[in-house]
Amino acid sequence: MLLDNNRIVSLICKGLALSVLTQCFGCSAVSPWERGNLAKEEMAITPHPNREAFRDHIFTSKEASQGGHGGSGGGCGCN
Amino acid sequence: MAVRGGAVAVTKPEKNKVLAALTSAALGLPGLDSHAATPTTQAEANAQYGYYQESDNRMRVEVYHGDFVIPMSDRLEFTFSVDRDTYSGATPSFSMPEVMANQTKIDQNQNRADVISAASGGVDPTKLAGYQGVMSFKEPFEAYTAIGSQSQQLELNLIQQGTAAITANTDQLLTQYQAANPAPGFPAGWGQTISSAVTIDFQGVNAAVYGKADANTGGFCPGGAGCYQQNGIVVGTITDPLNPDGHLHRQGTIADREIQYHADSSGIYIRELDGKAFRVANMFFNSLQANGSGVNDVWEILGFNSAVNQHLSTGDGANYANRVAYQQVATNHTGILALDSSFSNINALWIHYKGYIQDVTNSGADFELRVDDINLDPAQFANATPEQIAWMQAYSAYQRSLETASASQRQAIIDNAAAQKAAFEKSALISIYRNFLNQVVPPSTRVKQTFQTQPQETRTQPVFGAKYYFDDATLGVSGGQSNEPDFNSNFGSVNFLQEFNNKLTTVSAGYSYTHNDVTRSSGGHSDHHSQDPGHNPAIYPELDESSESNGFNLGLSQVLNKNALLQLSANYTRQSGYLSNPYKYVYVRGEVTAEEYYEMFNSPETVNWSGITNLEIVGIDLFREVRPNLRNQFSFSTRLNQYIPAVDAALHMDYRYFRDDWGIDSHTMEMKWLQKLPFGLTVTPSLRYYSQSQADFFAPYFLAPRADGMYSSDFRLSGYGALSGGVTVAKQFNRGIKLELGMEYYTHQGNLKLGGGGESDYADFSYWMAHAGLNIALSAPGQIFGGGAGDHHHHHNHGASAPAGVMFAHMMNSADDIMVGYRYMYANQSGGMYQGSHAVGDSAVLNYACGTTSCISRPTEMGMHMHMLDLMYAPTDWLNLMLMPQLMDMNMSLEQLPGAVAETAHGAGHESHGLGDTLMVAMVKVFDAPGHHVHAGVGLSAPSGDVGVTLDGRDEPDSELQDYGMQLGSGTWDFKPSLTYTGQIGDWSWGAQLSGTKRLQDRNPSGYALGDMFQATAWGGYSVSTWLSATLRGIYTDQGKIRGAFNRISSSGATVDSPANYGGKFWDVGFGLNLNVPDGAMAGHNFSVEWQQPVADKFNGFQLEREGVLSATWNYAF
Repeated sequence: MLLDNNRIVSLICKGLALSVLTQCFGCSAVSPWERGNLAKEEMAITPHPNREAFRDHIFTSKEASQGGHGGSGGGCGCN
Repeated sequence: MAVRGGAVAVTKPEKNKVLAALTSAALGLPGLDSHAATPTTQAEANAQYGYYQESDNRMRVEVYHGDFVIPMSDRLEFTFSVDRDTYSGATPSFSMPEVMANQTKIDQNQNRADVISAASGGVDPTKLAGYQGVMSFKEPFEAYTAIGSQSQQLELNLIQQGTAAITANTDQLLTQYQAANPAPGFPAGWGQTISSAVTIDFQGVNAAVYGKADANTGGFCPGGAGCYQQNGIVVGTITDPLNPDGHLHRQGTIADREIQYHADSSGIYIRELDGKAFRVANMFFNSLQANGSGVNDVWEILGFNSAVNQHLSTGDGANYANRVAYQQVATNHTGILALDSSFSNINALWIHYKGYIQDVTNSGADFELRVDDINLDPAQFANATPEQIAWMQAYSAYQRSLETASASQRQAIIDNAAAQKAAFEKSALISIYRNFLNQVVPPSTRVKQTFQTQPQETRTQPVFGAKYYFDDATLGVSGGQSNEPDFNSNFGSVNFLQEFNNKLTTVSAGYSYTHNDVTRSSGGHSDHHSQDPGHNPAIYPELDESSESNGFNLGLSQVLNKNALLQLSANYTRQSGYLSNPYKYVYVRGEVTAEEYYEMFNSPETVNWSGITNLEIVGIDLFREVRPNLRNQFSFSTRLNQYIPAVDAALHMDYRYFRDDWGIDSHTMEMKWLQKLPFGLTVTPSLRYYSQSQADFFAPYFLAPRADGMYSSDFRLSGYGALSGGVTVAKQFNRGIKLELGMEYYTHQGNLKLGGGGESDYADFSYWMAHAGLNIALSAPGQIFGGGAGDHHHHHNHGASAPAGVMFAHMMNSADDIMVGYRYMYANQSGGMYQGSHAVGDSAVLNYACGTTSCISRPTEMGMHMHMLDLMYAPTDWLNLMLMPQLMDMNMSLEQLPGAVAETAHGAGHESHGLGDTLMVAMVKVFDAPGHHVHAGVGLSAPSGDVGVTLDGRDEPDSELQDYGMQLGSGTWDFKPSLTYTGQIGDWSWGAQLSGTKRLQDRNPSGYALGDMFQATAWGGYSVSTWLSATLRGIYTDQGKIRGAFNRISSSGATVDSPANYGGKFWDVGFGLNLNVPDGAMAGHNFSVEWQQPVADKFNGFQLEREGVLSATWNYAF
């Protein structure tokens, strides 16, 4: 099991490294004056943060998976 | 965790700052609450209400959230948030194969039940293996009844066969003796007496004796496992065709047994094996309880001249043809009972409670007798001559000598027979348990899921956070707590974010730590009889466990091009400690073996629980779940945001892979489409798919123990898929206010699992969630309201603020003004009880405060916290509209009155929480001149507060309502008019207000209406400085009586349960302080606080003394 996990970690790390490389070479340099669309609120990583917090809290207490995109606060004994 | 960062979607007025913040805002990293690398330029606040409802009225959660972000400097920012969730409803507790969920009980209507619930009274051998557990089912009970007669016959045969030679030899010797010593003419039956003294001490008695001893002679008794036998004497109960299950009970300690007879049989019947005569000298006779102490409340003891006496139950209990002896015993006899001389030659003895010999189980009678050490002697013959007596004594002595000579031999035969009988019963019983509990479960059998209702519970979670911004980096820390009655969590996190590559690339790393303390609230499945130590021995300690979690996070954000952004993150979380759910159970076959159930049944006192299983037993084949105490979790997520200029929309695509070492892996995919529309609207439909595999130690039920001892049937560890879709609509208003509404539907199904192989549909369910959020940019240009028109920024009227306790006192004077506010009120009552204006003692309360019955308890403290959100908008300069939702939080402590006997359902106190009524008010300017202002308010209160709050938090027909004062709203639509005058000259200000509440409905859904209310108040204020003023106020309140009364079951026995004990006339004085911030970063904010001190009260009925009311408000006008 431990070996299995190690393999996954190493896969994830390799994946991360690979994506960094491909993206940095693959993407064009975006000048500050070209970043208007990126600054739009709908392009924010979490456009509805309170909604996400509420959903994360519910999903975390109804599904086995935790973590990932955002934290979900402290532990809870939710059923 | 709702700590917000710079990626918050608010319209920022400073264009250049937006540009500077571009990358960082867009690149705000997820996880560990890091969102951006640039400080928020404005203070802002959020309020959100979320509602979660599962299908079939299962769980319901209400989530209240509030937070603010305050920039302290260009580089430092603080955040604070509070979440409050209220849970109620039912949640799956365990599941089992359907075949075990549908077994026939032996009780009269032979209803069907699941095997586990039969023992739900608690962990007790008799509730697991005995007549309250497995044996309460028809199938094992009938099998057991059948082996009873077989085993008795086996024993009898063994004894008869084994002793035949000895008996023949004895008979021969006795015949020879009689031939050598002719008997001098005896009364009939002389030889048929027992030959020596016998004491029945019940040491070997079974837990219950179902045998009917009156039906025949010999060792066999019809009914259950037969009679109790000791030294040739047979003890059972009597035949009653209306009560075939009549039985006696075993009582006393293992060292000193006794037989108990109570109202489920028709008495104790004693005879000799072969029907020989005997004398009963005395016995230990302890009548613990009986119906009363009247003439007829006695115990009757009858002696018969025949061993078999049928149809006793249809007689009168005292007069029978064969009766030769009779004695009555008073109900309260304790100790040795000597029987009179009429019992010196009888063939059967019958003890019973007078008047209850037929169908006793259904008679409603209540009595209990314990009998022990019954001393029997050879029968005596009253009319015998001295010569006859001498012969008889000599004959008896000879008989005894023969018996003594063969006693050890006989005893060995009897012991062997008893051992063989026990062995036969043991193996037969074990196979009964095995056959019943290990019934074949075909592979496709359905799973029956069982639910557990949980009492309403509230979780509170405050979180504090801070961020420091370096030139190209951000350091964030946060910490908080989450508190529930049975789960306390403390957590903290730190994260660091570094920008590279001209802000096109951001890398982050974070660490978080959580510590949880886990306990278990009572009120669960097995606590029903927890008050009764005999029913539920505390064989397991109270749960007091902890767990911790260490989380590590790495992230990378990359701008791909001017319309696309990619984010990658990896998480590793290590959880350790108690990771089980203390309320979830598992059904495991074979963990307790048939042999072990037999031991429980056979010797319930000596059960070695920890020797049977390491699991915590909570029922028949039911245990508390156990999960490994370590869990390593990995997740990898990627997020792509693509802007689509052609339609001014953004597409978000997220994917997460999760895996842990419990065998669970999951995939989460989500797509969101954020569509910009005119009028500041954004509409966001979203679709999410989730699929997980099951944990290694998950099964809906376990048909064999697992080698690693890990078990869970929690549906959250099962294999399933879930699909959800929703839409969120946001509207950005001017003046920095944003509203958001959303709704989402979610369905959890076993067959939605990716690649199939999910759990069957027994655990399928769905839920919907809705939320409403409000975001306020607090640094939008502010003003102090309450002043004259047009002087927003001059603050001449700072002193005119009304005391915090006065509502509807301000009007905004210009069209389009918006104000937001928060109002907190705390009212406390504690101390002594009052009737009218006078303090009264406990005895008056006991006798007079609860109407026609005596009071049992009275409140000692009542607290009400009210949180109100004030939203105010001025469409024109003469009209203001207000919307005020509120949240209530109430608690009450009670004590039992001295001299009260019973208990109330109130116990030592209870609480209620939830949404209160919602106020909607229109205020109209009536008169406005320099220094003087009059406005009228027309308000309507909508009954959004629950008036069906129960003591157990459930909404079942037998759930008792909490008292009137603890209900969260009025339950009626209410009219709330007010008229307010305010005036001001220089530093002095004053005002007066008349206000009222008129209930527009006669009864609310719970059957009553609160009284109408009228209030008059007047105040004066003085401005100590430009920003601080003090107020003094007088208040008169008249609150009417409650009309009607609860129309369903409600708490009773306390003063607060009587509708007459509500309302009154109250005089108060208020001392207040108002703080206005005229300029600087917090300009436009107003804080007020007031303490309202009761001066005189005239209560309706009996009520608890009032301590005072604290009001605090914060307002901010734009």
